[in-house]
Amino acid sequence: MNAIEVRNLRKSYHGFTLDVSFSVPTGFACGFVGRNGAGKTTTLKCLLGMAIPDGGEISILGKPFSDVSLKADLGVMFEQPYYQEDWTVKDVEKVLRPYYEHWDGEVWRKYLDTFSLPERKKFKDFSRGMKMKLGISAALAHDAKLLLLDEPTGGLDPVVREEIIDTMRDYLLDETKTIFFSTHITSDLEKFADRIIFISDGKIVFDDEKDVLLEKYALVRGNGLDELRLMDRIGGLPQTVVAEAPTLDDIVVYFERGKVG
Amino acid sequence: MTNTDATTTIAVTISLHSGLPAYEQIKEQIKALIMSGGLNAGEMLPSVRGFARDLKVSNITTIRAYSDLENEGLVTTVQGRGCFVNALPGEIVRKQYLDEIAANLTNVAVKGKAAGLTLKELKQKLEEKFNECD
Repeated sequence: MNAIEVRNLRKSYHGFTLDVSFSVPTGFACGFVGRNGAGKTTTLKCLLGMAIPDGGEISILGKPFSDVSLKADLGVMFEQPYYQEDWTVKDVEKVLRPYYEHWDGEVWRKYLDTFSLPERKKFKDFSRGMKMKLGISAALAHDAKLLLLDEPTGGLDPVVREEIIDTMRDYLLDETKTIFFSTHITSDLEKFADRIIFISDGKIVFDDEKDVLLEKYALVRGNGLDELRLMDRIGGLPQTVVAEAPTLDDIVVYFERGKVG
Repeated sequence: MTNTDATTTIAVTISLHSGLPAYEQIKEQIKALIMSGGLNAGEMLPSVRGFARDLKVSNITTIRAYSDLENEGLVTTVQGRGCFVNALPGEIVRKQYLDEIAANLTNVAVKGKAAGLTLKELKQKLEEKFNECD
């Protein structure tokens, strides 16, 4: 079963054209990678009905994206949650609880505790890391089946990133849960993504299991060569050429530069 | 949720700088545990998801390691129950026994000589033990 199914999703504006097909399997974390302006946020917005596609089909958790009953099953976060400036965590719960049938106050308090979020502090005085943790706590408290996260660890220090990643790992202990997240931080992908979808200039460039991807290519340098090459095509190179295992960063950069032989 | 499900913890450590892919490291270390008797036939491996969380690797990495072990005939996955260590295949067990015999015989030869026994006398003792075993 696929948690997300996108077929020929098209959206054009200001000379930019998004045209993508991909799927995200249930039970896994799928990272969505690409440069700023490549179409990541537009894709996410189309998934959520925040932008109207010019064409194509989208289904989320087996339902068309227009189905309102989906809302309770999604945990969404774009850059940071938007709550009223003077809300405390108590106010956040009071406002969100009635919207979600499956709101679990115990889970909510557990995450507030895990993340050491202060009870009396107002939202506007929260650091960026605290805001992200609060947003994620809310998504987990309403028992979302699918988390859609835009840059969940962007601009956070390594310790907070790790805390958030650990929470994501806990979340994925349940094989009915799925995470689809965009990121620039390839070490996050290395740490917990199962699949990686790479988008460039509105098109999907690759979509593969992370482990498969890392074994598929060699970084070939020397003797005028500087490119990624499929593993089964690295035989017979001169001795002055080195063929090494690429990092995810290498793979993204070489694809972006069109240096794939 | 911190689901501390019935996870048998087993001693596997992932090196981030070994150059070997994580799934390969997991596979080799579990294999070594099975061969050395650290994991016995019928024992359950940790759940793929719990293990991935504990090792801080992707779920797909432990899934791959387990399926490779299954392809090598070392474990069996029972849908909905877990992944279990198989009884070791016959030839592997036999080879282990032969290695043990060779080591024991060296010991017998050395001690026998030290005690001043002849080869004939040693053979006789072996024959007695061999016949006792039926």
